[in-house]
Amino acid sequence: MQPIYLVVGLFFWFCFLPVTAHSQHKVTADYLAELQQQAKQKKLADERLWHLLLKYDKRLFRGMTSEADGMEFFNSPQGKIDPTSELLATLSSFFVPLTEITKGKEHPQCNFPARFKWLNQQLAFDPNRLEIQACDRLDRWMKALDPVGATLVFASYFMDNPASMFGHTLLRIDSRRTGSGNNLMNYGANYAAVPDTENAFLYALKGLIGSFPGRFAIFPYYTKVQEYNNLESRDLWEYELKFTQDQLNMMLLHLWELGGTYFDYFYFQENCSYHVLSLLEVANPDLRLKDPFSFSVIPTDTVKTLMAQDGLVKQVVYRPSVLSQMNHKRLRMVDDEKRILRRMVKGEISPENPAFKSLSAPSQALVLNAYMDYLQYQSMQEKSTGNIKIPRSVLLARSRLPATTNGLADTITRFSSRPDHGHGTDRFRLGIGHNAREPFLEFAYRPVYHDLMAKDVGYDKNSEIIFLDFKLRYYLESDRVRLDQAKILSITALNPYDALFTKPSWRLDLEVDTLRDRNCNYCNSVKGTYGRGISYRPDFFSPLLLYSFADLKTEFSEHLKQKFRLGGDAEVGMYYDVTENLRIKLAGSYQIFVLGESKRFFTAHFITRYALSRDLDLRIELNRYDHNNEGIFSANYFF
Amino acid sequence: MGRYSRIAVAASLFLLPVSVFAAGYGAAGCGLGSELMGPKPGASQVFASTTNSTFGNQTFGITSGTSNCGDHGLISMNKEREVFAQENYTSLVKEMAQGKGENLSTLANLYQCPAASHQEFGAMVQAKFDSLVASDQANSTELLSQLENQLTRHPTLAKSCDIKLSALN
Repeated sequence: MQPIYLVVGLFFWFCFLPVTAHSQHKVTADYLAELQQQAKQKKLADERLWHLLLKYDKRLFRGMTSEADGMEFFNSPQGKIDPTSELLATLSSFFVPLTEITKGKEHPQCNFPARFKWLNQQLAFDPNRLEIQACDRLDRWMKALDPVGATLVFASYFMDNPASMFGHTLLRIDSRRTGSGNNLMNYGANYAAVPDTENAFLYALKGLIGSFPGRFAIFPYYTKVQEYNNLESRDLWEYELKFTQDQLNMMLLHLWELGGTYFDYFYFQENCSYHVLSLLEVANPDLRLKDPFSFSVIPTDTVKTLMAQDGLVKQVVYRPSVLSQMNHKRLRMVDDEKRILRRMVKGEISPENPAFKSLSAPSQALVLNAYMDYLQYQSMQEKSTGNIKIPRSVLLARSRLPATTNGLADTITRFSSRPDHGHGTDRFRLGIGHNAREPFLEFAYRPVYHDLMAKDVGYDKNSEIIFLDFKLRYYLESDRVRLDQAKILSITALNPYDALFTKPSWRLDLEVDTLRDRNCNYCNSVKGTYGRGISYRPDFFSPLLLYSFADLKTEFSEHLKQKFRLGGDAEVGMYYDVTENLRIKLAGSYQIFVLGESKRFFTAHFITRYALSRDLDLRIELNRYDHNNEGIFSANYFF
Repeated sequence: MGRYSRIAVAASLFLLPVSVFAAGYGAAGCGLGSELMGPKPGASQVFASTTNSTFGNQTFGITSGTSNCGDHGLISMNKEREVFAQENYTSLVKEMAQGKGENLSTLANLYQCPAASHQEFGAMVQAKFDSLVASDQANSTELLSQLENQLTRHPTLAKSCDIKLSALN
């Protein structure tokens, strides 16, 4: 090579390179400015999808604020409160050269692929002027999930855990890879709080005021089925939703963005159901799913909202819990089979026992199938981590019997009803009544949830949860308005007696009430009750439910001697469904207060309810407290 | 015992039912917590629900600390059978003894057995149950290796299903 060329080459190399670098930098800077200008012109920061992607929400006194609380979610330091600054910073972040990304970190284009996709759609990025980054991990993630559908899964009520009393929703991502009829292998996206305390009181309080972080996580659906169906024995309802391929992709890209951030978890507002709705809105911004909710987002209400959208829900599938599966088998049993099952559960006989062997082969199979469901459920309740949950001897005995128990197609009995068929969770009540002295009008409102006199379609039929139920009475003759009752929290869980499981019923009540057994001009007391009891339903679908309780009770009031009384009561009662719409309740109790102001008296109640529609019912109540009687006729509207 | 301490005792009684709930495990449900498969009874620890906190390198959702997950936060393809069998072991052996069930056909799918052969698959595992679950201490790994043994020997399933894992990758 001639030295001259080398010199010339070097010369050019020296002066050319800085120029290219410089001009490249300038091109980039110019293009960024151009895009930012365009974005401003098009007012992209005001677009609904931008607000959905960044979780912006108009807040009282605070203006536009993002619900996301992990600051890595934003590219601009003002991102949490300023959609425009976030959008400009996001555009800018897309231009960061790959060499400036710390090893092990993802490029912003890969961290925020939904934002990238949407901004690219709006601004049509020029790949010559904006380097498009390859996102290897994201690509493999998307490829593995390969969405073909999305399903909202509702886990029914779980009364043994305050966090699950209202049910739970998660989103299943149905994959092309797993194929139809292979739902267990799909993934589920779940939003939940990450609690930092074991203390029940703190746990409830922190959940209410939003001091747990909430995070999205993704699990194989079968782990969720094991958890809800088998461990907690909750029925699942799967709502298969209709989305286009593009919408599903957008939703997943957005889910990817959410994986790294957290939100303050609010038990009643920004909860699992709220965030699942957000995901669906990102998929299809035309859906306005969160709009109807103000005070609280109750899982059942979100399911109703989905059902109300035209053509969104393709199909509803029931997935029975392990105990529902067992009870389904028990319903088909004759008395002999039931008796043998009971004895097996008690450990009195094994599959080798002649009493069992004397059953026909299909009967034996039916009994063992139910027995194995029972053992599976029981073993999951134990803390042991042994591998075998059902003794091999039982499994082996079952394996020697034919596969099908009979020729009939097994239509599954539904032990819970579709949550979207239930009444609204808000209730407004208007009543007119009379006591010994005068007539009165009654006005009441509560935001949540269900009481045992309401129609129980879509709800757990043996329990009630009432929260913040305020009732005012206007007494017509004395022309006074009084707070008659304010139930802060009232929970009743009647667990009907089952020969295989003995689970006590319990109830808990915290309220401001009127001292009804006294004539103190409708004076109020603060009252707390906790009790345990037994309840009985002749069979799963019987219209009759009997119960009895023994309660501990305390009341505080200015009008009581020593300002309080402490005691208890014994109550017996029954609910009876005369028809689908007509329910009757009869109850009586004997109250004994031994500390503070002591007193003993009886109470008696007769209530009847007639449901005019899903959301409207009429009730007549006759109550007697000691010597004071009252009667009320009311209309209750759920919404 | 003074009056106030009696009141305190009475008041504390009302807190009992709540603490009873919390005693179990880290909850699940709308919200207040869902440490899936964490300290729960009878559940394994294949999945930890915590996300990797370093955002740039975030592994979405299931991260692991186990070798079952890929760096994309999902289960590695070549571990799918193993993890499925482990997580659903009780359901699986129950359905094997019954000769049919959803978990069983999912397993058949994981072995690439066509839907038409699932009934045969069910009949085979039921007939060979004795050797598939050899003892009360048997585990999911043994179950799968026994199953693969039986599949290989089976006149039709050996051909219609894909037994070797490499076929998946």
